[in-house]
Amino acid sequence: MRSASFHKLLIGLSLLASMAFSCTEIIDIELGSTYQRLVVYGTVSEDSLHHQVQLSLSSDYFSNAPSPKITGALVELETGGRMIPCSEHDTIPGLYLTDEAFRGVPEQNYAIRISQLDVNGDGAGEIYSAQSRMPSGAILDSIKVTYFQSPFVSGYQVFMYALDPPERNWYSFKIWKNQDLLTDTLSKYFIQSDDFFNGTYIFGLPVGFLIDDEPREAARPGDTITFELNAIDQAYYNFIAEAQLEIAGNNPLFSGPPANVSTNIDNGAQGIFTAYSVQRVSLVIPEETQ
Amino acid sequence: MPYPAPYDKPHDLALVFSYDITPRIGVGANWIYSTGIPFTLPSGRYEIQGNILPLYTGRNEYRLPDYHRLDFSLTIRGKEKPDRRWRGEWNFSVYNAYARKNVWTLNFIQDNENPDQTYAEMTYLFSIIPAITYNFRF
Repeated sequence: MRSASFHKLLIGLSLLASMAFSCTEIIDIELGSTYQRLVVYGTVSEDSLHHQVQLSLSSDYFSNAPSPKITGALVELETGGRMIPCSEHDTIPGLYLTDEAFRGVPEQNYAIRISQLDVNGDGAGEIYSAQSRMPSGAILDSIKVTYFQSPFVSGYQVFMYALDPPERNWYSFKIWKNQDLLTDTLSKYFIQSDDFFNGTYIFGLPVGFLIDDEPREAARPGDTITFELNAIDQAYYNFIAEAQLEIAGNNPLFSGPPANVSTNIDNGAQGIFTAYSVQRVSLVIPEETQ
Repeated sequence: MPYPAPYDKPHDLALVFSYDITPRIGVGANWIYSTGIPFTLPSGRYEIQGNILPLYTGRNEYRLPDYHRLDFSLTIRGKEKPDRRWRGEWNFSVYNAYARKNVWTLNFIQDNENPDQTYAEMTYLFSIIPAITYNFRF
């Protein structure tokens, strides 16, 4: 199962095993520098809202300051032959929102075009672009929660029931506990490709684990669990998987060599622009499952 | 694009010393040194949703700190008895006598309280390890 929590548990256990007689220490090291790049994080979803694009710049590794944001750029979203302009947020630098709130449509292409900025400081402006096709993905049926107990970890596990279409699909999952979005950042996203259940009905895929030891996650009967299924494209799936590997850290016994997280933005930028579909279902944890 | 192999050690030195103080007591020491192995470390970073992601400009571009350690040993051989077909010896040794924290791997962690701050955190396997061994041969 490729959920971030179990992935981290696996890495954690392997690090623990290999560090049985070892310790960690913070050290000072000197690192070099590299040229600044544009960093884009933009999403279009099936929810009706002002879709967002965040623009920032890369910096030195030990800069220990918030990343520099890009203001004054021109960001345009293109779909179905028409351009949707975006405007900068009045108080949050680097955040651009579509002027109109609209609902993204599955099977539609979305493209982004960023111009009027000079990242390499050579006096000539640059143009960056990316595109993404919003997948439709599986048809979500329902979720189920059961309580899981083990010496290492206990908590409520969430299972999804859905019908996966025959083509290749990739998914990400979000979980709310009583209006609190638990999977609120990149490192916590659950992702899954359909390699093991392509074109079949998914009878209970584990999509979330609410660990009892984490106070924010620990769930009880009576709590409302809301599950969101996003059908994402392969570029976003790879982006999340690779970003999580880089965040998790390196263990010489089990890790591969580190590498830059892939991107679908052209012209030497980093980050991702993606369109994903949304389906949601909720349930209240019943008394009997514990 | 060529990059240094992970086992590339330009300098690799082993000094081995052993001396029998008496026919039954021997001491030994060795000092191992090798250049730190090549390692892939970031040259820049960027931030997405509060997560700091590294920017690498090449594979194995950096090197870990050099590896070196000193080991001592003292061996006391048992008396040779004509009617006994085996011979025992006691061995007292110290591995990594000056407890050098040789870097095994290097990771970067984000400070929980101040997410813009990152630290280089190294993992070392062994500090000083004393050992007592009894050997017998027959």
